[in-house]
Amino acid sequence: MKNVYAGLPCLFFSSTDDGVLVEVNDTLCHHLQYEYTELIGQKTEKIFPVSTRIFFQTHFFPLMKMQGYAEEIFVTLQAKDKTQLPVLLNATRQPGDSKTISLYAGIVVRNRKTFEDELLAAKKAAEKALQENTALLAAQRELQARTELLDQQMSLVNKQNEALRQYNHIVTHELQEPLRKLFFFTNILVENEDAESSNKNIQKLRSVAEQMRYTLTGLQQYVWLTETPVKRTPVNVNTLITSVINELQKEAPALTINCSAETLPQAEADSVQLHLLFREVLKNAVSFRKVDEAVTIFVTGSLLQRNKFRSVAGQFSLAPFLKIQIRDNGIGFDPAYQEQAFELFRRLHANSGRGVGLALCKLVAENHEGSIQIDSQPGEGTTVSMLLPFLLGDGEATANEAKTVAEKITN
Amino acid sequence: MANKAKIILYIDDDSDDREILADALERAGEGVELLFAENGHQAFDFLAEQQKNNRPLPCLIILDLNMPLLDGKQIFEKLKDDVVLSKVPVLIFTSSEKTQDRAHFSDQSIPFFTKPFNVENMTRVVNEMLTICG
Repeated sequence: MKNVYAGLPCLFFSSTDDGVLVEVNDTLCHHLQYEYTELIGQKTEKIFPVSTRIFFQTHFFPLMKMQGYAEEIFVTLQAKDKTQLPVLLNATRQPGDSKTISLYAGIVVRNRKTFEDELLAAKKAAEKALQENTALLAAQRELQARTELLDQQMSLVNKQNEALRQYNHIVTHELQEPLRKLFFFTNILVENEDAESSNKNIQKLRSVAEQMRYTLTGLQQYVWLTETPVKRTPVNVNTLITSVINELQKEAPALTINCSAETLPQAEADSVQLHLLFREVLKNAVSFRKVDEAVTIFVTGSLLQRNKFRSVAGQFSLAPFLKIQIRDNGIGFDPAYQEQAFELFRRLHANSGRGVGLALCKLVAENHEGSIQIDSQPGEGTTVSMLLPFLLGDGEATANEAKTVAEKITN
Repeated sequence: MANKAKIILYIDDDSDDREILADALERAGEGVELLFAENGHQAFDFLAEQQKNNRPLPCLIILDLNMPLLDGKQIFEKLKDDVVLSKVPVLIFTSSEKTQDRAHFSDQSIPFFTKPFNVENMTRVVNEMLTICG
């Protein structure tokens, strides 16, 4: 028996149920500083310190008896010089002819504590890293949210600066001009007694007053769009365009207005502002029509992803947008002036109304974090393209629906 | 003396202002022909046509500042860039009260007049215009 276990790189001993050591190997003897003969036939208490004895009797041995084996049990053995030896034991029970023998194999785990401490430290470090990571992620989310807020506020500041620039232009030019004329024609009227000339000047005064009223109405609408909060609801773009076309048709019954529109998905927009936008764009299509030609309007749509950030550079967050294009067959204009088209009171055609419409359209698009662009060629009609937020509800179903719609309208 | 008729070209989109200036020039009675352009394109078309047909260029170009398409400053820059047209005297006639507009043209010794509020001042401005025409 002894030869079989000799030289094994583990401790081995066996005992009877009444605690007599039947066999020990030399590794055990070496670690506990006993001779082989000093242990055989001795009680196990000789190599068990008190704590192990108690644990052995209350837990280890009952467990062995119950299930026939025990694994990875940590116990302490005691050497001849009373030093303690931490050991991890596996044990099995072997029924013999007369007695049942328990076999124990163990490995010395002097470094276990160190390993455990290291493991614990590693675990703590991992937890700390996780916490820091969570904190970092939270900080990143916070930063993202704040950057979005900053972008919104910067866009608002830009919008207000632009509004101030426009107001300044109105005060220094658009209102000064008719005011000067009011003075001028009134002075002539006062100085001149010729009835014919007076009538002419009175007509002039009326027309100047009308011009001022137009300017102030335009300014009023501009201020309204700058200051009124946007109330976003799902808007059926097709229905809205149809109703605007009907309005325009009613106002000019002699004209033929044809409109061919693709089925567009819903936009997420302020319906009152969107109505104003479509009305101004479609009104231009009617106003700048070719002589003796029916007005024909084509409405198309597509979906695209666009960066939500407008003012903070280097930030990207894509959001779905609905691109609506309204094309007409009108007289068009020189593309060199397409930027000017959106300036308040800027007119590209002589006697072409107030020059307010497209400036208002730009404000509506910007109020929705969208944009508007105009492309034209003289004699070849005008295309107004606008980006408006696409209505996306919660859940995958809506996303799929969006995809389907996108496929449908891009095909 | 059979004077070759002098031409003043007035570029302004505002029909009232064109009429006011025409009346004032008529009252001044100097026999200067006043021609109008509603915008820069019309003006350059006219100037090109005059040169092509060896007709006289204006003795003065009167320029409004706030106009659709090309504004007064842009028209002025285009005139300055042209070898022949850069020799034609230019006068700014605008309702703009902006100091920076006035400074921009004063720096280049271009006469700058704000549009008058009464006939009396209008007559004074027209006389200045006629002085430039010689």
